[in-house]
Amino acid sequence: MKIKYLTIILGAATVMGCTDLTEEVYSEIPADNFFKNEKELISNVGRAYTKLQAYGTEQSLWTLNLQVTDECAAPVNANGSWTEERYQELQYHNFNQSNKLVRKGWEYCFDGVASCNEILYTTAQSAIEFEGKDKILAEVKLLRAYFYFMGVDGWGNVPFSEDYSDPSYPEQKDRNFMFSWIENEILENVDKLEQNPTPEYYGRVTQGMAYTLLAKLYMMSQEWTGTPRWEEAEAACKKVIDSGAYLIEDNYSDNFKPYNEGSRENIFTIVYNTIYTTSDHNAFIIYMLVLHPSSCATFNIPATPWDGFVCQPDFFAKYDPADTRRSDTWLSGQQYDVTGKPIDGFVITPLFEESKYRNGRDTYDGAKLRKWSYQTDGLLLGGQTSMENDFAIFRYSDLILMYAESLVRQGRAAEAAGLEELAKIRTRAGLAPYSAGQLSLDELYDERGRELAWEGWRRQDMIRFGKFNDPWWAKKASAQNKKIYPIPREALASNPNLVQNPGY
Amino acid sequence: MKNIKIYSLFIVFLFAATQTVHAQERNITGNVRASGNGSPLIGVTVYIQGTTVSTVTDAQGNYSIQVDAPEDILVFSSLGFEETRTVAGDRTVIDVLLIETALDLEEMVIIGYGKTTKKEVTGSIASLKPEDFNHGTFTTAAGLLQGKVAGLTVVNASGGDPNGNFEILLRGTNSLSAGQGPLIIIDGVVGADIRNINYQEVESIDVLKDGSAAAIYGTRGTNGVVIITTKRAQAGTTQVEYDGQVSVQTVQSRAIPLTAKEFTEVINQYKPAASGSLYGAETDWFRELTRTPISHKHSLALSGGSEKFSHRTVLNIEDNQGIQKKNESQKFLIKTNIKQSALQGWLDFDYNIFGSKRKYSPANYSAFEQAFYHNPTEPIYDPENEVSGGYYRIAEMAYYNPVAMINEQIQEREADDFGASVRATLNVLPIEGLKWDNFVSYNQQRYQSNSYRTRYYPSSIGQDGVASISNEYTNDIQYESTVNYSNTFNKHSIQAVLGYAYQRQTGEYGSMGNQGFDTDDWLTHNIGAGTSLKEGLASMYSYKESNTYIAFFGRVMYNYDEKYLASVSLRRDGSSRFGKDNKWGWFPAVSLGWRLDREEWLQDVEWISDLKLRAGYGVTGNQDFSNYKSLMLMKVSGKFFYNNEWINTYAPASNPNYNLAWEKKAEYNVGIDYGLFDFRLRGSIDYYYRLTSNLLYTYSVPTPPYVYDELFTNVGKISNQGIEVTISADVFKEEDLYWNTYLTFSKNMNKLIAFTNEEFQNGSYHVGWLPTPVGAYAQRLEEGKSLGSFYGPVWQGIDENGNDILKNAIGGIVSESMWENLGCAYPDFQLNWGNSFNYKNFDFSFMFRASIGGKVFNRYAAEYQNITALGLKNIMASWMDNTAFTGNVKYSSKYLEDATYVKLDNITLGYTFDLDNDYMKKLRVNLTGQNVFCITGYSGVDPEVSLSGLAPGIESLSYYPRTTVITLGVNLVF
Repeated sequence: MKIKYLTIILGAATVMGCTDLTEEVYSEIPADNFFKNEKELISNVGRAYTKLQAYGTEQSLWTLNLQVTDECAAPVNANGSWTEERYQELQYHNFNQSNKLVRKGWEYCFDGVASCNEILYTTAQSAIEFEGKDKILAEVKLLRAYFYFMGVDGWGNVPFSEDYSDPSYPEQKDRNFMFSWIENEILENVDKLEQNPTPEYYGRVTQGMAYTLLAKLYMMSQEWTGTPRWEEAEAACKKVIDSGAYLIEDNYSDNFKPYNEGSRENIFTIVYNTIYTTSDHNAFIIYMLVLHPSSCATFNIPATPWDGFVCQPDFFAKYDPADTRRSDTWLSGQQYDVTGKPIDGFVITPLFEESKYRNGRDTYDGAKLRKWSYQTDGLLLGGQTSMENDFAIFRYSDLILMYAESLVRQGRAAEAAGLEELAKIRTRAGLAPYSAGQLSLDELYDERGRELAWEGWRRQDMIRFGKFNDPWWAKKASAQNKKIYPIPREALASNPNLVQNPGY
Repeated sequence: MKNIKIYSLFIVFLFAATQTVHAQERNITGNVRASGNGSPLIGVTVYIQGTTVSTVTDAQGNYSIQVDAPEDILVFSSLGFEETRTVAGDRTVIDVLLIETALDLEEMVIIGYGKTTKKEVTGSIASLKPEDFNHGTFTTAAGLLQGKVAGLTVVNASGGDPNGNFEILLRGTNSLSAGQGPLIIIDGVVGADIRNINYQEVESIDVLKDGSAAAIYGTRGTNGVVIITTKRAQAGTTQVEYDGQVSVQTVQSRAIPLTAKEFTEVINQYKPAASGSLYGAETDWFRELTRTPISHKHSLALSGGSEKFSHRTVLNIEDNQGIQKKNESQKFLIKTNIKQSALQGWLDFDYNIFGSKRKYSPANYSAFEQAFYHNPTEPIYDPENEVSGGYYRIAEMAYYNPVAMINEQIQEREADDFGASVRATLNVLPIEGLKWDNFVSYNQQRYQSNSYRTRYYPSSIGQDGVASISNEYTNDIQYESTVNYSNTFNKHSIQAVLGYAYQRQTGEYGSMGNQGFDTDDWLTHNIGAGTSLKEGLASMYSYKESNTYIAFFGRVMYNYDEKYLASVSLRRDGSSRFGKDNKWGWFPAVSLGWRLDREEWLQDVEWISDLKLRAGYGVTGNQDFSNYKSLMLMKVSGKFFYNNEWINTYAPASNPNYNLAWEKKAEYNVGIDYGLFDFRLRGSIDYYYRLTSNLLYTYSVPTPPYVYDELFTNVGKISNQGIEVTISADVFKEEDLYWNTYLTFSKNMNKLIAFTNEEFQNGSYHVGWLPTPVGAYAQRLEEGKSLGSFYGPVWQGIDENGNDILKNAIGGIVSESMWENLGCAYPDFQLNWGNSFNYKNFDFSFMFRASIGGKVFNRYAAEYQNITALGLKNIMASWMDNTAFTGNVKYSSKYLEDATYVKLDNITLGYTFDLDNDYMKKLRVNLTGQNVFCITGYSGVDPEVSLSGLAPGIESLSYYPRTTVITLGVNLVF
């Protein structure tokens, strides 16, 4: 009897072993083995912030928005590089659904949304509680609202989904719907957020960030929904001003230097680090896109940069020569090495003819960005090594200018001219503060251009001020439908619910 | 008195009876000859059917046998000849002519888990023996097959790289994302590494082409099965064989840029603005990188033993050089095969053990690309430049001094492989034809790669030396148990097999990298000393994975009178790679054959020696993709600044798919095998149709709601159908002169039938990305079209400004909706033609391989046949043939060329010496030329580009030049 059972068991065991096909995983964690404690939950939630880091890479929403405005150009350089049609299409407002940068910009926004949805779902599923759980979930919701905001800003009619567990194809929603939704998201969650920025909260979503986003939303209300909401914008800006947590720094470049964590002007930054965010998709690498290899001697940079992006000549001309921001933002004229000795023959000429855009500019044509100053520690090794500088998406100076703009649009230019912070923005740049008479919309438009050069808001400003379709430098006038990008071909193909934007 | 009468009557009766018997009994004599040349046959067995009466023909072919009745049937049987029967009748003299079954029909063909004879095969199987193989020297054994089997495409996409691998495709591309190469089985080990055998040791290669033959391999069999058997231990006197080869290479084909003189002229005449790029030197960068390589290979084999114990041991040493300086490889291989028989024939053992070490210094393919476009007026060295280490350096994007690339990088790789397998067969002697076979095999590989770039390596100047070490350890365990039964009774013959197979593969990978070394002398041997480690910029990585594979299978082969043949097989397969509800699948196959030449009504037709009709159907699967795709796994994602420190974040590794299931391919095959005029003309014709459904592909899905925009899942169908024709003719078959010519023809038509369903609606994908400056997708995957379909604007010429004129262009740009179908990468058909001659002691053979039709995209022409790039970079010399073109590069049909080619692949002359002593049994020398010339209209490097993958037919910029190889070989047998 015993032997019979033994053989049966042995037989069964052998058969089981003989037919066992379960996978053994060694280097990843099966999902059902994850989310066991607070640390794991936070490491999952934190991923929403890493989605922001793609902003500073070579092809992302930021570089896309740079190319369609008057502040940046990527002309063919002296060696015949940068002839790709995708840059010229964007500069001439000839873009179509196959443009690679348009796709990358779209992916930045919607990968962010999708990750936030997934994080909210899986965190809600987990029974683990910890202090600050509600707060961090509110932060993720704000991040999602930010990603949607950028998506709606760029494409207008977007796929809408807020529930990860629903696998059906998202419906396409227009700007009216999205406007209300984003507004709601912000208002519902802002009180759960951290009120004041503290060092240990650096890089995280705070109430200041939420209200700044709300202010930007209200400022675009006329363009997006047809209804102007300058009063609400003013109120949102006031909330940030009244919190007293932010101020205009004495030094313009302190907001952009490599170790700029201490800046009290930056409201919300994307945190970069040469060691921790160095990768092929999360690194801040503007130095590679901008600098000519000769500049490596100026900054002790080991990498060989690609010498592509320059400041558009007409934009450079908008700066008053006395404006210190011009030299803080741009490299021009004679260049020097690290020791201060002039480099023979290396003289940058910021102004050049527009015909050179397609035919090729001379070797040192075009002012080069230096706003986010380049660290001279010799660690900038190449296209995957990130700069240390944190990138401020929302800056207090931007908020003040928005506040002033909302007042001017409501006919209260005198109040705006009386703003202390607005005056400081001008005086720290070596210029006289505005008087009420000087404060016109056109002047504010130009001042925003100079103050916020290449910070990612020029396109939105140009649209809001009605300048986006005007001709400038090498570009001719463009049609109204260009104010929103075409939906990328790949996105249309994978979601049958999406319809292409008009005119494409 | 009475008793004597009875006894005598009895005796008389007996006598009468025997006399009667003797009266009917007679002696039949006769002569047996071969029908081919009429020579008398010795040792032919002559017997009376149904009795034990038999005799054997003598040295003159004469026999004599006692026959009882006129109805008795005489049977004449001899190995190598068709068995012949004849009724005795009233004759006393019966002469017989026996027809040779050309070794063809009796030849052994290896089929899955067994073997059979060629005449009994019902599937589409090509069987090659050493006399069929290509001559010459090859990087791996796959080269032996190139051009030999209709439907099997063997492409050498790596040119003269001694470490290159052949790409094998059978009957088109049947899968979009699972593996596309056939399953390779070497000496019973499934999925063995073809680099671990010495190609001179290959005894036979059997290719199971169609579904009915390959279905016994279930999920591994979709792309066909190539079964390689190496020479086995053989009883007999000890034999020592030596085979040596020395070979030399010259460049046959490469991309040609302007020389320094032409460069100067072109700039001065057409682009004076770039005259700042004329530095006055004259450098031939390609010459600086290359040398004339000499390679040699030696192989020594010892074999011998008795019936009970025999062995064959092989020692193989190779030293191969490539034309690029420092590119070489060495190989040491020792292998032994031992056969042992025990317990009076009850047990047979077959052991196989090998160990190999491969050391190589890989080629730097991008150095060839840099050598092409590097300015020829630049000097190589610049002693004043300390930063670059004395090399002339212009610091620009992707522009590096090729000589520095070769000199300032040291790469050493080493692979140590070891394998052992045992096959134990229990012959159940009481039951004839029954045996139980058990096979266990273990294979492991350890691989290490050391790579060091000095502080002067062009792309990493400023990093003070970059070192990286990586390791791999993989092992593979297999166990197979089969019960075989074969028997013949009356006219029925049956062969059956029932079995179980188990395989487990494990892989461990690790690597480390560091930078910032004080001295380059350490290379990678002091990797911890780099300063990047303390700065947080060093890297470390490790990974482990495993997968399991289990199968139950059975097959029955039956034939009636060797006239009607049938084979049925069924396999139940499971793989750990599939989703948890879909791990197992059923794979059936059936095939039938009819040997027409054995039918009564064809017996008289003398010119037909063999005619067989076959038809088969089989279902196979494909599990050749990466592990863990069906699971939801979390992997480390980016870093997040939380509470003043950077912490890891985790993200799902991919969009999970719990329903990941088999790709199934069903195939129909009909064929005719023929042998005419005494097998002087023979071959086969096959038509096949294969349909793969549940196609696996990485589909685009929308984000949101998915976290990633791709999902690996089953949707869609792809079909391949085609014809294969093989003809082999012995034009002369005399004593002194033998000439055989063969031709294979294959045509395959591929169609992507569908890849949409209710869930996935995306009907068209863009593939084949051509990077800057072209910047376009060259091909589309479209339902109803073949894979490899090129799409683009149509080029119509050059306008007066030197720019391209494109059809339907608006402002110089053609919108994608106006792009047309420009052709397909796959050839219309492929032809191979080979000849071998034997005259006295000389042997001579040559083989042509042709691919007709198809398109290939000439990337060198696209990127460098224009003057936009001129200045910093060099351009193609062929631009000077068309200096009217001065515009920018635009993607169009201008660069899509016809890929038709005819190559003389192989030409060999050999001489076998007449030997008359006790020591040396055979001595043969031969001279072989490979890749001798290529006739083509293609203006690029080589129209034979990679045909596998989703974007075939696009030439690569980073390539290894094509070389012609001349080999001198000697073969000695003691």
